[in-house]
Amino acid sequence: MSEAVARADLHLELLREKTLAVMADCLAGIDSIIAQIDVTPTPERRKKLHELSCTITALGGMFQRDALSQAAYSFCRLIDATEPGWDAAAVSVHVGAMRLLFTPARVTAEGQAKLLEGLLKVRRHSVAP
Amino acid sequence: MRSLKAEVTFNFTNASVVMIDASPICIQVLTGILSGCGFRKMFRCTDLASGTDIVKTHSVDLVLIDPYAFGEGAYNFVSWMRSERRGPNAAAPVIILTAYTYVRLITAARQCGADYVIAKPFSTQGLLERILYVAESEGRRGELTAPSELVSSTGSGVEMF
Repeated sequence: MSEAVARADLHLELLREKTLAVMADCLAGIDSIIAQIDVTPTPERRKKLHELSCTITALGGMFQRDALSQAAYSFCRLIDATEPGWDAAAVSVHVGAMRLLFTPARVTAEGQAKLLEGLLKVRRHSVAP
Repeated sequence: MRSLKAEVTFNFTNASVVMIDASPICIQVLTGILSGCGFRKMFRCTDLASGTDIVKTHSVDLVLIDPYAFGEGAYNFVSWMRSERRGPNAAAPVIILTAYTYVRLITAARQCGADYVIAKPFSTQGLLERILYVAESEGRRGELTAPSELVSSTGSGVEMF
């Protein structure tokens, strides 16, 4: 089994650059959609944001970006929890965190953990009645 | 910690797997992992219709499906697959892969007859261990394990982050 896992990891490694490029495109797509939102997003834009963020959630942790995956997941939850409303400040914090965590070397492990804790607090505050 | 299954041997050369995921990059990643694990007969489907066609026309040993883009259709697909008319494929293990897990998904997965839910992102080892688990768990369908974490690179399932 360990040989199979090593082979599979090697195959995964061959897809690293391509996958990182897809995740970067997703982040750019999120930025672009948010820039077009006036007060609240249309259902179509909300859905697209959710899809892009889910793609980042799915892939980040496979390429040593666990914190990015968790931040993207938190963003998905935020999008759902605030529907049909929109918390631009909370969104901005999440997107900023995702951008930062895309290059994990820029943040220490402790810093990443604190960032994720912060996102949880922001999201809870955002959806609090 | 060393995995208990580290020295397990297996051969997937003749096993056929169907991957159904609307995301082409996720299909590519999955293909890379499965080919590394020894799978050779892989059907890549980015929509439910092509997945359905494969199940209708081929003998299938494993189905990996991400329901995100397909909604209820994904669970209906698994239910349909489980129907007796599908013959040998009716008993094929089905693993649901998802980046966005919520309680209703677990309920839907259990009700439609899926064998396991794995949260994306997952590790290669995590995925392989769960494939081996469902392969060894014939007759235990419905005992979906609710994993400890939702977003985890070890490939566990459900938590409420």
